[in-house]
Amino acid sequence: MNEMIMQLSPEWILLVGIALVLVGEILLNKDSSRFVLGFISILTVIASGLFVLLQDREVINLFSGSFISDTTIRSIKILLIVGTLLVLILSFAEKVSAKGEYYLLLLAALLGAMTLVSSSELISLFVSLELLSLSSYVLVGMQRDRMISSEAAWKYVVYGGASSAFLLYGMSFFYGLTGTTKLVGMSDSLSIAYHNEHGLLLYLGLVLLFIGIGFKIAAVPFHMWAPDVYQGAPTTVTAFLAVVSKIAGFVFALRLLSGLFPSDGLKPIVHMVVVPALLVIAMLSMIVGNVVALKQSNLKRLLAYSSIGHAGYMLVAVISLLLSKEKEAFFSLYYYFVAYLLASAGAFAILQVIAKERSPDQKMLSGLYKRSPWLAFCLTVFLLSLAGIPFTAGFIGKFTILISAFGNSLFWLAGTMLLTTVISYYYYFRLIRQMYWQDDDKVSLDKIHWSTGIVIAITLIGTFLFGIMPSFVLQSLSAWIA
Amino acid sequence: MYLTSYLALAAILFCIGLYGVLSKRNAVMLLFSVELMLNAVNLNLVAFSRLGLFPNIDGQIFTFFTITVAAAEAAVGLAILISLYRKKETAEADQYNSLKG
Repeated sequence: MNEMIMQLSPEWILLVGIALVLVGEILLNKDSSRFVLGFISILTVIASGLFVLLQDREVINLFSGSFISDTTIRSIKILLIVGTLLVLILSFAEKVSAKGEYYLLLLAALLGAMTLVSSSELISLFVSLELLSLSSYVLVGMQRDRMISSEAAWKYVVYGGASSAFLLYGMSFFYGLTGTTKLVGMSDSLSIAYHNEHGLLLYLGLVLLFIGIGFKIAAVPFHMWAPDVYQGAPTTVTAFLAVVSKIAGFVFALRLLSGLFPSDGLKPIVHMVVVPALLVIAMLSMIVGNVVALKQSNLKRLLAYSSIGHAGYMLVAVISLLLSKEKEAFFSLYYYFVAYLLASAGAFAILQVIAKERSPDQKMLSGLYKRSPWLAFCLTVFLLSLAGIPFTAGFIGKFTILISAFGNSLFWLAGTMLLTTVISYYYYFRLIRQMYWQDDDKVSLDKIHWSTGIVIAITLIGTFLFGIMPSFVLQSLSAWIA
Repeated sequence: MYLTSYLALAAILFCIGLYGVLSKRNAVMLLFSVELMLNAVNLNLVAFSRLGLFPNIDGQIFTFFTITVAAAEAAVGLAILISLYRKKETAEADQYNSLKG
């Protein structure tokens, strides 16, 4: 019993933090500042991260295999925690943080994401995913005085609910064919069912599962909610969705796919159905995301479409991982997560400074260099990292994904990736040109809030560090995980 | 044989729900349709738990969780709808169109 509490300590701490914030919100005066709640949340998240690190190499297997944790999973949890931490720090400068529920929901969403990456069982996977999703729905609609915030939340809840139904419907078929909800051992029963003429139900479940997953990671053709939701949500929440939710969604997809199909009897399905389907989704995401981003003038929408394109790149890494099961493929995906997290969080932090409460139009960047050279420089670095230019983390991430794609003979995919990267240069460089060579927007900038400064500094240093010293980072990572 | 008919019923319910999500204009009907989809899954799970290839209790336990989550989802959806209704003063979902691009 005692051991179990220790093994679940990161999650317990988050739960205690949620309770503290809830009680604090009740005790605090209606008009008093919610700064202390934000402070409690940050401490909670840091403590949770420390306990994740404390578990070091311990392999945890609880509740007869429904909750697992090893170094791979722990490395993802660290990413989720760092992402949430950046969002929390950023929140001090935003008006939504005046409400106590905001912190409560962010912590609850993080708890959902943490249990999601650890679950190895359909019921707990689903419940964790819903904890993450339901908290996100409310977070998106947090700014009730802004019409588009409520509207984005509405779209999110309808699309999210429908996608959950697809996911569940798919899961129900897998349960029906195997009689178990545990991913361990499911593959063998699935293989038996497949060879006993139940292939049709298996394919049906698979299609439904793909639709559900596609919605959750915002991959084309199931991406239409993403731009609207990203645009309507408060900027910090958009950053949370783009970073934490996205990574959690990918780990969820990876867990399901690699849990369902490791059995040798299912090899034909993997090669004939799963990989080709993922290939098409990845290609479409890369092409549609990057091409539609070209004509966006709202910066949040532009970043939303670019994040759809990035989902495509990450899917390439997922496919390599499914095909080869090598550590290198996982590292490339992980590296991309890190690069994407740092650059996105930094870009959204700057967006928050520039746009404040207004809708962030591209014109607001005009002449940013003259008004604030540092801000312009930082945004340039983040955009270059998203575009994948050398000496930034994004370049290494993209490069390693390309290498592993070539290693698995995915030439078409690698070609599409290169082509769409070139397309993406166009809109990233358009923004950079606007900052340096366009006339001034004449709107003066506020003094940068200290919290925004911290986030920009961390992400800037991280982007350079991971861009310049990749071998050092990769070696320490592989030493820990292997 | 029996299993097939339950599965067919669940599939029909799911499709009706999906049709509702795609075509209904009224926002409350949209939420109903999502619920219908989730409940079709419950039927599927219970049928598999009784008549599946490996009948066992897990499916019924799964159903408890889906019912609870669906209730939470409906509560969140209605809350968001009410805050939207106060702004727009309409429950027609196609009037919620200020996000475009």
